[in-house]
Amino acid sequence: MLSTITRYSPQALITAPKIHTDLLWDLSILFVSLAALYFIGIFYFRNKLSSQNKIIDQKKKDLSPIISEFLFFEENSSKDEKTSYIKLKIEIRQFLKDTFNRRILSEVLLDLGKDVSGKIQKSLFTLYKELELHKDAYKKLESWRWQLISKGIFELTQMHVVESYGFITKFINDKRGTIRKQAEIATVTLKQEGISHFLDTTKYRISEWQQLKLLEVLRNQKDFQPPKFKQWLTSGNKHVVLFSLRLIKHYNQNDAELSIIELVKHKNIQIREEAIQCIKEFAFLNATETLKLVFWNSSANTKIAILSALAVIGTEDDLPFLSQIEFKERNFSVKSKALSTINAIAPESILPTEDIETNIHHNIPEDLETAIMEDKTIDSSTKTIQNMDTDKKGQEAIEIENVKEVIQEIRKEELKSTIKDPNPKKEDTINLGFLPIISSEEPKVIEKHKPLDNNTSNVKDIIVNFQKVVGKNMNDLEVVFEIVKPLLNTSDTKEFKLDFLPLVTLKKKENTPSLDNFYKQVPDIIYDNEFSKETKKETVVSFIPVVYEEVASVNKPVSIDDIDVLNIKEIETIYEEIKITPKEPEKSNSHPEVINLMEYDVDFTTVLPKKEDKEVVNKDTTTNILNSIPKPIFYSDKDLEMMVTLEDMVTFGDAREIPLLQEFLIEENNDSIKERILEVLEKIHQKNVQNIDVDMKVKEEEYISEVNLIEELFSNSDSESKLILLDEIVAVGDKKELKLLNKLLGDPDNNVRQKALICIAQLQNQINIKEEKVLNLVSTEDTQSTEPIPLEYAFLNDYETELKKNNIQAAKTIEESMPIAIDTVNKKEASFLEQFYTFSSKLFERLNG
Amino acid sequence: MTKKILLADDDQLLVSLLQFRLKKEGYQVTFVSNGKEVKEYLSKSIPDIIVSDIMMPYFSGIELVDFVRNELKLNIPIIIISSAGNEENVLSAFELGANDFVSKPFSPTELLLRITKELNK
Repeated sequence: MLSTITRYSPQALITAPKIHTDLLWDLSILFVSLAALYFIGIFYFRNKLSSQNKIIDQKKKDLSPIISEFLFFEENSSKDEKTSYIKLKIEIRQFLKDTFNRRILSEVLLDLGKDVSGKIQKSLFTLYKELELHKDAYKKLESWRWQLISKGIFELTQMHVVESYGFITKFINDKRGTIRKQAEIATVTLKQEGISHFLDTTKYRISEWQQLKLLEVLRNQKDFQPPKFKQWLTSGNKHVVLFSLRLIKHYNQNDAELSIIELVKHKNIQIREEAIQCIKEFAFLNATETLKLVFWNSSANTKIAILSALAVIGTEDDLPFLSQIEFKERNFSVKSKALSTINAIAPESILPTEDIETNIHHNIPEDLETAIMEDKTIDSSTKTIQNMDTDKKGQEAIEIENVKEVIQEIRKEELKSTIKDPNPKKEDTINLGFLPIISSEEPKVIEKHKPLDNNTSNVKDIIVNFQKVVGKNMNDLEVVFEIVKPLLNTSDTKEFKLDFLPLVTLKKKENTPSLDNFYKQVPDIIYDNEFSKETKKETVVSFIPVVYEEVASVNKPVSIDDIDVLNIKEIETIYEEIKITPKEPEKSNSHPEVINLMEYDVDFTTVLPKKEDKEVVNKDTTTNILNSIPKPIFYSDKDLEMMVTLEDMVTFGDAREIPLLQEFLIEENNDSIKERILEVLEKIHQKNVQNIDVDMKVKEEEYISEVNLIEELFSNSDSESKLILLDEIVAVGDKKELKLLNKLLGDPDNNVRQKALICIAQLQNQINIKEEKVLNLVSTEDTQSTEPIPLEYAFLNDYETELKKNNIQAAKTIEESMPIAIDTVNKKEASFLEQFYTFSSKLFERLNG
Repeated sequence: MTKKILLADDDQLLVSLLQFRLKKEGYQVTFVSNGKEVKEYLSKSIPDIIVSDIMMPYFSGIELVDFVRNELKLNIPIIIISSAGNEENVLSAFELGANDFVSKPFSPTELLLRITKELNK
């Protein structure tokens, strides 16, 4: 245990440096002396500055009477004054030889310039120039120090040295912000056109503070004629655009409507909002659509700005848009603003809803309560309408009512779209406009009533006197109305639709036991035509029943010429019974499923109007129509069978059917069937020629692919392989290989060239033999057809010749494509390559049987 | 009899300019640069009119009006000189009894006309 005890010896990890005591003393002395120097320096410079200030103050004191003398000197002053003035001038020139004095004098004049105005100020500016102090300012402009340049520009601006304008404008786009800002103010201050130059040339940002300062400078300029700031709305510098918008607003320049409206779409929010402010300020009514367009993609502040503008320029047409905002917008402020905008356009159309008690338990005294109950029995609609018609205030109230209705409808639609009603209610009104007008009664003379005047578009203006309605259910209703009279002759021509309104007749409908019967009889009603024209204009007036005074049926005889074919619904149709009497079949039909309608006698004339309707349909017209109907062709069973066979041949037949068709053609006596056979022959011929063309194309494509393959093989082979391939070409090749062989005559290998030459000779020989064989085959086939053909069908001979030629050509093509079948010797020697070549041909052969 | 004008302003240049102009018109002008000097002067003599800047060391123009009207109970005309944007103080001065005011920058001639008008009342 004792051996394991660890002993920690105190090792000095950090030791104090060994510094000589004298060094410490030396350092102390150094720091003390430095501190002393620092304090001495401070005192020295402080005293120097204060003494300098004293000197400056003293000099200012000395200079102030001199300056006052100069400023208040007048030409008509006394001789003594003039003498002292000249003495002072000499004195001050001596004084200004010192730079320090010049600086003091400049400061004095600048200070005074701030405090005085009017004539004294002008004298001050003149004195500044006369004493050539502005040259010192020019020298400052040449300095490299930004503060000196800035000071120089400031001096020249304060002392209104207009001559310095050209020097200062150079600094408008200076990199150093202080100089730039000073130059901007100087440019705008010194000359009236300075603002135009500045807006034209500036590339940098114009800060908000700078804009305010510039605006102040412009405002303080005397006789300032502001330029048309719209010319800078197209500037590439967005700050210039923004500043221009503000200037446009400040100077009420409302001649840039389109540009300002366009700027509402600007990416920069500030510009957008400023443009909206301008629109609001100048009440640009054309901006409404653009404001609506940009609304949804804008920030909340911009949306509020847009709504503020709409409150000024908006109309009742914008109310649906504002209502949509109420439903779709989530931002509370925007939503509230939308509501206030609606109220701004249509006052009090939206009433307060927040924290309004809906179920208030009023403690109404009993006597008052009974009076209220009595009031309720009075027809409220009659009461309101009559009240509204009293004066102009009533009209305004109606307009507000309409706006409310529109908003309520929009709200309902929005709610319908958001909340799906599981049990949607059916509309109370029934649109009967689609029903045809049918009448069995004799035509009645329609008593045309004077239509409602256009001015009575507001149906609320009509006085309606209601009478008591008797009856338990709707079928027993008897509605009587007395007066329908427009009251107001307003020029308002709003449209309204009345097709949804219930129909009311003057007569009491008898025998109307059920509601179904009632609706069945509705088509019998014809509205007064003129009245319906007047009511085509649309306005929703759902609260007033429409009253028709006269209900009549029309059964007017119409001439066939008067019928408007385009509007079929309006054609009056007379239906009559068509009598069909079945006829005894002549022969037993071999195809019972085929119904020959011609076997039945149909009295088509019954479709036409009867004799008593002669005044309606002209007789001549009837006969013309009958003559224009084609007469029927009747076939026997055999002929019918033949026709069916021919149709089958057209559908499924090919060249093999031709001999059979020829036989039919000779045997057939029926001209129409003969004609049909010839048509079938022609169709089969055309089909055959097309098939051959298709086959040729397919073979050609296959051959081209083969040739390309051989060429590719040759290009990728060495000399030995080429020699082997040349042997194969002689065995399987034809005329088209000659081109390839001719190419091989230019091969670098001598053996290949010689072999190619031999192959060409052999192949040429083979081709000659094949051609001879084909010619022999054609000559033998030509001698076979010796049977005479009647002149009538002479074209068939030509047709057959053509067909044979095609067949021979096809055979030749097949032969060419199948050299193995022809040349049996080569077949024995067929290698894998040969089999590969002939694969496509074999496939073609098999497919074609 | 020469009218005495007390000019109270810390801006020596402006005061000397006005002094020169007013003296030229025949007025006896006394100029002080701060509120203490104003008090001292008023304890010794009473001017015919006081022209004071609203911003002065130790003693503002409003305090001066208050002092003259409420402490000294003097009814001498007082014209206030104020810098632009200092209208609230001017209003306070008027409430305390100032007779007129001019705003910087002003024309010395304008001030002279106002002084003359006040002295002739």
